[in-house]
Amino acid sequence: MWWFASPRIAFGEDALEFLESLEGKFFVVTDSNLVKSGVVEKAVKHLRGEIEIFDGVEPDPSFEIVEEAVAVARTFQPDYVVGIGGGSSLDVAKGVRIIYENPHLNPEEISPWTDVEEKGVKLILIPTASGSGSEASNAIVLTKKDEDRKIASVHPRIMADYAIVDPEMVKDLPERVAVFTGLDALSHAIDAYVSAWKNDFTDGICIQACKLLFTYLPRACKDRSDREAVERVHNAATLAGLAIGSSQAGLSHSLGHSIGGVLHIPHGFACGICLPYTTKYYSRFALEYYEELAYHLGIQAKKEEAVDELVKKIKTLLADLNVPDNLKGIFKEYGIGEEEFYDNLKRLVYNASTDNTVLTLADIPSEEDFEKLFIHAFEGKDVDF
Amino acid sequence: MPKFFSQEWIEKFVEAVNANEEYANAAKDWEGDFLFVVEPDEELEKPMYAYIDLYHGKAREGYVVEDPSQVNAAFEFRGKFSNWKKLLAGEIDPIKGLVTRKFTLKGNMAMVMRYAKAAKLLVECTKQVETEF
Repeated sequence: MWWFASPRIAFGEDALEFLESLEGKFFVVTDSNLVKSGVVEKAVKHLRGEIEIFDGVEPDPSFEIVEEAVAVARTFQPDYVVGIGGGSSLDVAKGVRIIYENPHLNPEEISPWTDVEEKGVKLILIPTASGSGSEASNAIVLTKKDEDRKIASVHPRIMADYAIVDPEMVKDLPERVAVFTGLDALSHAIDAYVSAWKNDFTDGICIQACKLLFTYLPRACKDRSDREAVERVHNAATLAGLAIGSSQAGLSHSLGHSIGGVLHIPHGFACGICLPYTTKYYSRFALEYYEELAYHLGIQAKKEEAVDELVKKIKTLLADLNVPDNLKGIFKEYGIGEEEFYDNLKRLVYNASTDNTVLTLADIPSEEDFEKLFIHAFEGKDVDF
Repeated sequence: MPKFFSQEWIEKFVEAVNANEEYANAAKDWEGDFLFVVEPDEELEKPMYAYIDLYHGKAREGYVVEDPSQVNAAFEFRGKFSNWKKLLAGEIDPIKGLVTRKFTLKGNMAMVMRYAKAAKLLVECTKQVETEF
């Protein structure tokens, strides 16, 4: 037995108008930049009732920020928790709803089998980026600051009641943010398609998400006024989020979570740049699935050649998006040198090999292989081991 | 071939854990003992219990427990006999088994969430023990 779950999704232009059908007290969870830029107001103006805004969400949000927001929510006593933002704000909003309803629960203790109570507070998630898919998944990723480590918690009650996927919320997204969030979505779709938990309910979703992203992401990043491309990429991110909710993320995220926790570059860059390397490596366990996915993306080659073509296709996409196809290049953009990478390599390997995403791999790579993967991805060397 | 949850089976399991270098590394900081519980169903009349002390990547000891009230383990993992058989046969994914309530786990979840790989490897070790049910 397994599950596929989804929020009720309002998508496309004017999806925000759905909010006008709801009444009550709305506790909005977001970050201060989105408030200042007016993006939050685009959604809030459709809310009918009393509104309290918590705008203290930080990048790579911590467990502590969830508790801070819950303390505010307790005074306000909302009917709805509304997450507005990228993955960070949406993940915090998810944490707020579940902890608000279960005050005895330590956020770090949320596991898929934790007993939780449902007290009727509804969760609405409104993404302002097209990447995390958090609006459609049952996972929260929070940072354990004292361990420099991201911890993913999964629970059915984490799933939102409503997801509002309106392209209006992302049309002013800066190009670079559109790039790395889009790569996060692609990583979700590919990881989920080859996961040991892949299933009939997510396969088609992954294929469609990949098709949309390969087709529209470069257009959407280059020109945010390209309404068709922006909307299709926004939809693709939510589709990929639905997929990981059931099939889970995989190896690109094992590396990506580790890199984000230790070296603090945007999650989408970390996962997306690792994708060509994890694809080639992991094809030893999932060759048939990669070949199948490649076929649906228009690649006619078979077996290992299909994987190589898929790797090329991902690298071509990275090039089209002006993203280096190796970690060294992206680290340079964030002031992280070779020495810092190698100084942290041991920790990167340990964190990746013990990341929760390894649970849905057909086989867990050895630490030796994780180290080689990091080095190959850093140096931009083809995976040949 | 040792009978499931006999003293011999538990000793073989402890041996398998202690021979697993990957587990030793993944659980190098783990401190916590387990009570494993097999709940009766159509094929089993009475519950069975086993205690395993896991510490810093090794299993320090393991034995059959007659009276679970005499054991105060940090973690308790329990499931029906038929589900244990499926787990050992690889027919149930241990995490899916927990999510779908075929098994339950009690204890400090914040700690368990940091040792997902170790937990998976621990289950792999049970598959290495030839078992008579």
